[in-house]
Amino acid sequence: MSPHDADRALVERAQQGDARAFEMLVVKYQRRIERLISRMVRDADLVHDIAQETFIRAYRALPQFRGESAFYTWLYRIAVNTAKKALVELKRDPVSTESARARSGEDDETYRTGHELSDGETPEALLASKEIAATVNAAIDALSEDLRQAITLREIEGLSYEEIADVMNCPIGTVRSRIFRAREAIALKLRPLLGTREGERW
Amino acid sequence: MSDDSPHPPHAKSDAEHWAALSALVDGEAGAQAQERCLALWAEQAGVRARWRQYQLIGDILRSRELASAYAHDEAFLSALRARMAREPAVLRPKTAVLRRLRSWAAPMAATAGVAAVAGVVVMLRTAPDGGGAAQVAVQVAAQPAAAQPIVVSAPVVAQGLQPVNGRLIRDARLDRYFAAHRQSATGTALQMPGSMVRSVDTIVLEDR
Repeated sequence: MSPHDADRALVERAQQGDARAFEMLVVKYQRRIERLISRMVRDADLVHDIAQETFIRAYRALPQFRGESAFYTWLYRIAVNTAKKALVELKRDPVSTESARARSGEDDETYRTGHELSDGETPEALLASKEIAATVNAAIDALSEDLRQAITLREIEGLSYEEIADVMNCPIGTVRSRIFRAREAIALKLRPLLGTREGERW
Repeated sequence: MSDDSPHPPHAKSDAEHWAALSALVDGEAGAQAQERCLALWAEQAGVRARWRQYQLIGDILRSRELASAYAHDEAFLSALRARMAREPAVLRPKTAVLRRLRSWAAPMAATAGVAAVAGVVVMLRTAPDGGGAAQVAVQVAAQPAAAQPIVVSAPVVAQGLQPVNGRLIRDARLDRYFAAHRQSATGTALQMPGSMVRSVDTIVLEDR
């Protein structure tokens, strides 16, 4: 199953005016969109603003989304165009955006490779991120073989439940259950870390 | 629901809700389960928290980078929700409705074309003044088939239908629907003034 297929129901509901469905898509793609933008823009506040603008533009343009490409591909293009436009405006209006431009550095340096610290991202936050990633990976390793295989085939290989059922030679209902149980087991280990971060309400 | 919301009066247990949410993450939830998840999404922070956790787990499995400090989802969503509230409602004509319209639009167009040709033939054969008939025939033939519904053709008049001021009265609701759909299709309905939105339209054109 492609990511496009996984999003279809929520996208169609959002197109029919269901803001809750769009919010679910926002939560799903926010991290990926912010990472994408952070490769083009160093300033953390600007990354946040551009990501917000990206989703607002997507929300406005939803009726025109035809589903001929994956929703994320469409969203990705909006994010890139929004970031490019922000960078152009940054050059054009250096007075109002001087501090942001100073933090952004020269043009060639606005594109980053690898996970460097961007402005506004603290060493503590980076450490917390690494701890979260390590916890998830440790939780995956601690899963039974069946659960690990099911969630890996879904999340990493992108297979549909039907395809996973074929691979694992079990009913689709079992696949559904294994993936759910795997997520719950990992989330159980994850929750204490998330709950302690910046008072966020998980 | 154990997280931070009161129990709603739903028959399903928490585990069933979470299982449905997990299936929705993968696009494998049925219509009823979708409805239930969306209702709970609006009601319970616990549902929103789990949705984030499930998505975060998938993101981290695909890339460790996505466990970054940018995961300030709740604040991000709150800010976005405030902006969305100021936007006009998103509304696209339902696919099923469009499909139904398309299903009868093609036969109707073909029928209109046949009727036009038949009308011309009838007029040519029955008009007392040959020159006048030829003139009417040219006028009718000059109309494209798709425009037939708003053109008063000779066969319709011959069948006893009386147009008003040379035009048939159409259903106003259908007119409004077509107008909304045309706007939606051309991207003008929700287009906002300003350069920021114009570049979105460019993206949409590429998508087609």
